[in-house]
Amino acid sequence: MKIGIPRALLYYFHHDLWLNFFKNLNIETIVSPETNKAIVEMGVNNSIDEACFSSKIFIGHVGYLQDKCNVVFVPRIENTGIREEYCTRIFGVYDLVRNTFPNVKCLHADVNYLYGKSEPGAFIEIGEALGKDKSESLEAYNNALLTANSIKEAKILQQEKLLNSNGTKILIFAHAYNSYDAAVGKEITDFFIDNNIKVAYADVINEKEAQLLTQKSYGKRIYCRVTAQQIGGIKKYKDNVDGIVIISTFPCGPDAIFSELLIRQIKDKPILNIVIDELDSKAGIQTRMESFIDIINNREVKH
Amino acid sequence: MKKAYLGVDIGSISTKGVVIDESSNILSDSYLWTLGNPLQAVKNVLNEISQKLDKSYTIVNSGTTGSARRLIGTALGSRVIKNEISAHAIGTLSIVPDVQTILEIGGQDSKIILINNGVIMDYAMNTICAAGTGSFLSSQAKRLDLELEDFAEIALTSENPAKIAARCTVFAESDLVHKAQIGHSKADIVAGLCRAIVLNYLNNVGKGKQIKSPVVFQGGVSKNAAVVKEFEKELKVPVYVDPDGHLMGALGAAVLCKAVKEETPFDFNLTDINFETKGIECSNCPNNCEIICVYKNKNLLDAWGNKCEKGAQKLHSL
Repeated sequence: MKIGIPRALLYYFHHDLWLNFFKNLNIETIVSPETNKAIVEMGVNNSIDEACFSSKIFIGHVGYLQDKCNVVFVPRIENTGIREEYCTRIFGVYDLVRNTFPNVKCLHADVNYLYGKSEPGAFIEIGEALGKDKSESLEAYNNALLTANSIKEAKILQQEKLLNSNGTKILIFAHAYNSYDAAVGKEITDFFIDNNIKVAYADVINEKEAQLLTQKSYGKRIYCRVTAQQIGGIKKYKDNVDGIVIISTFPCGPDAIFSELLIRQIKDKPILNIVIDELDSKAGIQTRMESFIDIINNREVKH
Repeated sequence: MKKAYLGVDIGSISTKGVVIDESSNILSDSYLWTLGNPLQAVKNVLNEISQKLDKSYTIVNSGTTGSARRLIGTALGSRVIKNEISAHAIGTLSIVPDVQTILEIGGQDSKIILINNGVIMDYAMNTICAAGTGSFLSSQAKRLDLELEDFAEIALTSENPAKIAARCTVFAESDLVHKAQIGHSKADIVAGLCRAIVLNYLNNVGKGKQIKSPVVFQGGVSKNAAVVKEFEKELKVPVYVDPDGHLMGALGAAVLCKAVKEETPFDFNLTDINFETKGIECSNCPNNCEIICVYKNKNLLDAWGNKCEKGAQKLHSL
């Protein structure tokens, strides 16, 4: 039994939990490689036009995995409570995969707290499908959760250290599946790192703290869970960086609203807004990044 | 020997070159169409510049900017290869030191640069779409069977500009046809187009930005007096257009050269050297990067476009 895990969308939020869960159950996994042109093409060709670029990438990763494993892991996380929802594109991909690749077997479970489907319950369900009993799955889940949480905490500490160090720093406002994807944000963050700029991420922040900060600044909870976390990160880290870079894929609903909101609200930091789509026109982005670096470096010198 | 610095701005539509002395005075300049061949355009520009240049000056460094900055910078052995935004701001600051806002509408892109105390504070650029730029105007001029050079003159005679949407050439076309069919005069339509350019720019590129005087307007479209007038009407401040406005990018690249300590003697004989470029598709991984190789007299000078080491090009002859 070999489980294929697409390196896209939810993977970037939960990979430590997932991979450790399967490892604890002694089940072999294969993660698709970093997004490359062939994966993008496969995704674009198998998606409808209206889907966002990130979900097209997901479809491409499933396409890559289809003949390399027994089942593909495609869970659906709809929400983790009231006003803690995931994007429809994210929880819609399970149905898209089933209809796009009828021959691909999916390993699937739902997380929907509003309908009484909890995360531990989902992992027990997955364990059952793999022939493991309830206590075995629960133990594997709990241990994986501990590992994942400690990795998360270490990341937050590491980022705080970076933010308190000297040098020019920028804060990336992007969904994790965009900021770390080789076809979306990674090329951009690499460019800044190559130019001696330290890169911090708005979503690397304690979830509870992020929610409180977001609620405090907007008076109510933002239903999009992923964005709410990033907004909290902006509030917390903004004053420690020299500029903010927004990276989103076309067409993303929450990003369309919140990138605009941030640009209007934040007046004391330069902001670069980059929207990526499958048209692969990188020429304009290069010029924008170069001039953005000039601006944040010049500010350093003169002020 | 008197020292001089060369700046070249290779844009999508036109190529500009300028030579300055140590106090940033323009000694010689040239402005020619790129015509889709940046290497040839630069050779022509260099020829023109060297003919106009006083022979007692020696060029000690060169800089490039514009969309072909890397290609030409490699070919010329330039010390400075700068993005257009910084180059334009620095060039403009050397002519109008107290400038606070630079509006620019070029052939394919438009940008706004905000400056405070001589430091670039913020900028914005249009997205991939070239709506509301010079190419929009020239395609509409063709449709109306007019010369782009006559646009301003005709537009200024209009007293009641027609309302035309400039957000997209496709929408503008249907607007344009419609206005003509219901009886608007050509002058009103042309004036409407000029106004649409300004509104589109302020709504998209200038959105949410504080435009403070002194305002400098440059790029090819700044030569159109009707557009300048519409900008003044909308912004309610004087809009300054420098007669050398088209040279600002090149000037900025040249000014930046002055700060480079190491000197690289520059030879105008370069125009006799054979430069070639070749695009190859790397097949070492599924990314299939498009790699551009630049050859100088059949020897590989530089190559770029590869995302990883697998696509790195070894020095070789063509």
